Amino acid sequence: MFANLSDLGETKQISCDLCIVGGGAAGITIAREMIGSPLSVCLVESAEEYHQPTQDLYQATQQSRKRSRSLETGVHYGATAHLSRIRHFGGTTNHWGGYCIPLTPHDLAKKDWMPDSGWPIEWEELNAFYPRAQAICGAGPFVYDERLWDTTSRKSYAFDPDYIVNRFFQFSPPIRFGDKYGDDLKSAANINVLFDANAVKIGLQSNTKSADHIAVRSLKGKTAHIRARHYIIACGGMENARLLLDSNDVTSDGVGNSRGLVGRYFMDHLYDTIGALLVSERPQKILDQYAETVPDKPSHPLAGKEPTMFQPIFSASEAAQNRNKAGGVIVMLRGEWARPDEGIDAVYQAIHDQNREVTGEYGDHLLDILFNLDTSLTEMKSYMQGKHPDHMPVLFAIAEQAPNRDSRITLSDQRDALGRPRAHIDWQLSETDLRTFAQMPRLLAREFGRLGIGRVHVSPWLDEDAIYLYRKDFSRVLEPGRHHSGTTRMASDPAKGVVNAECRLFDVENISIAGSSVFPTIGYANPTLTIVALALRLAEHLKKQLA
Amino acid sequence: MSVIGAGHRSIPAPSRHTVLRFPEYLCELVPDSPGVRRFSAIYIDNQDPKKFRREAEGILLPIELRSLGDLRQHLSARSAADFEQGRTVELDGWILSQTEADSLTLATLYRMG
Repeated sequence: MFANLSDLGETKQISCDLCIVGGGAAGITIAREMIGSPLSVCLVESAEEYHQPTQDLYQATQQSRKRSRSLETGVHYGATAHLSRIRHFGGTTNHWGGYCIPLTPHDLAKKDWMPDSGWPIEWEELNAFYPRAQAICGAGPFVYDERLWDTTSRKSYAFDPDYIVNRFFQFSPPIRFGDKYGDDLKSAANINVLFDANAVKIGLQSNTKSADHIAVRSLKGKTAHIRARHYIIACGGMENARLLLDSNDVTSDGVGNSRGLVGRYFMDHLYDTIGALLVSERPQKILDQYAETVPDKPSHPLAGKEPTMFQPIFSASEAAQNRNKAGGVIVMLRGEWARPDEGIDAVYQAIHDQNREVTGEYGDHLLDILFNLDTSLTEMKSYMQGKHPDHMPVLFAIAEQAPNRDSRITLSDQRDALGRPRAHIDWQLSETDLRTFAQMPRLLAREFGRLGIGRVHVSPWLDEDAIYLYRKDFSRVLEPGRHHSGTTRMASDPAKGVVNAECRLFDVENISIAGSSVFPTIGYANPTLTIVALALRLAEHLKKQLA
Repeated sequence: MSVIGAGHRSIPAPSRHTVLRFPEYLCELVPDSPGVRRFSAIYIDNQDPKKFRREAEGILLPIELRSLGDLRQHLSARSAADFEQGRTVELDGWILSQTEADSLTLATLYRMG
């Protein structure tokens, strides 16, 4: 059933077995898992459809720091906090790009050189839920390895797996969870979805060990308490922390925060151009090879009846990450600046025309191209001044941010329309993050050079001689992926995390957390698939616990 | 920047014909351009040009050199091996094999006489 808080008349209290706060990918997935169970479920969500005053509740403030003159080009994180996440039914799936990719065992492993890394669960435990999560996300078969090449006429390069390995994105159409699964919840007898209900406070019992209720309020001032046997907070990577921190009338530091860890370890993916590739053949060939594609062999078992788009990507191997003491990073080729009639492409064409009989092999003419770099020096000069080249595929990287205790969400002095403190963002990066980026052009240069594919030009911000300029605060040059994570991290030890391996608060026995805020590390994988997998795992656990 | 790996040439020694033709072929392969001269200047830094030339020839000279194609093939193979074995240099942001950097610079030195 769907209802609005403002339509409930004088009702001040709603009782149920399970209260889910937040109707995004995690909340909707868990609610669907409860359909047909003996449990009564109330899912509270701010709005059924996009509503600007509701969306504005997501505005946040950002820690200001002294800027270096050379680092003026970065994003102002706080200015986009209300745009990057969506506050109505379906949550941020209402504007996600559909990128699906699972975390790897290496992503979950404890690395000695990455402080605070390591998940308290084995990858196999997560992997058990990935295939179903994949189906819910609307992607194809749960295959993310070299077998995907076989569904097309493309071929892989023979990379040395100690350096570079191919990984793959699969693409959801993308599924908007509210649109796709709303009717399932609406028609379920044991599920109530309550809109216009902004969770404003978690009420603890006096012993502080369990929650008594969740207070909700509409923008027009209607209030109610949801009382449940168990509560799931599934509001997103920033809001989960904000709600816990702001529920501070019984415990002054907020709920679940006896160790001061709620809001800490705020992580995001890091996006930036790391260089460009001078290719030994026409650039369009490698661009096509690593572009988004759909299987073109319909009879292949992995192609499926409705072939799903996928995209090969280059990733730093696990061995390389370990050698470089760096996180995970992938690279996509971007050719949007390529102009086939100009620049060095003319050189490619000339060589092609003169050597028509041998142009099928990589590397034959690389030296010719390399020794004619003058052709591109004008462009290179522009490039070094910060402009994109118009003739070389660009190496665009998505990198893991390492856990950082000082990177955090706190409560702002400013308040929203409901009178609640806004989220305050202090996003901080580390030397590890710099190493994560810096390794990739060198790894690609090695393999592209060894295989005669081409030569790499490193972006100025990662150049060996310039890198010192960025050491103090290189976040200014990076674009965040807006995959807010880590603020209620999962751990086996209460001293090191906010929730346990079952995603339950260490401090409060009847509150669980869903979403990317529980990720102890984030790898480079877009989070939605893993959010859904963990939601399925949590639902399975709670069904048994609450039965 | 030093020429790492100098003195590791294997025997037999290059033929007299190869030694004589190598500068000519290399200069034919590497264009005389501001870009090459710029790369060369950065790479040689403040090393003694004579010493650099001697060491680079020791590394780059093939055993037998009959044509420009031979040299191109020889340098391409050496470049690939450099990348595999981590013998790379970064010049103006470009990550090149040591062979490429040596070749650019040696050709520039030949032209300077």
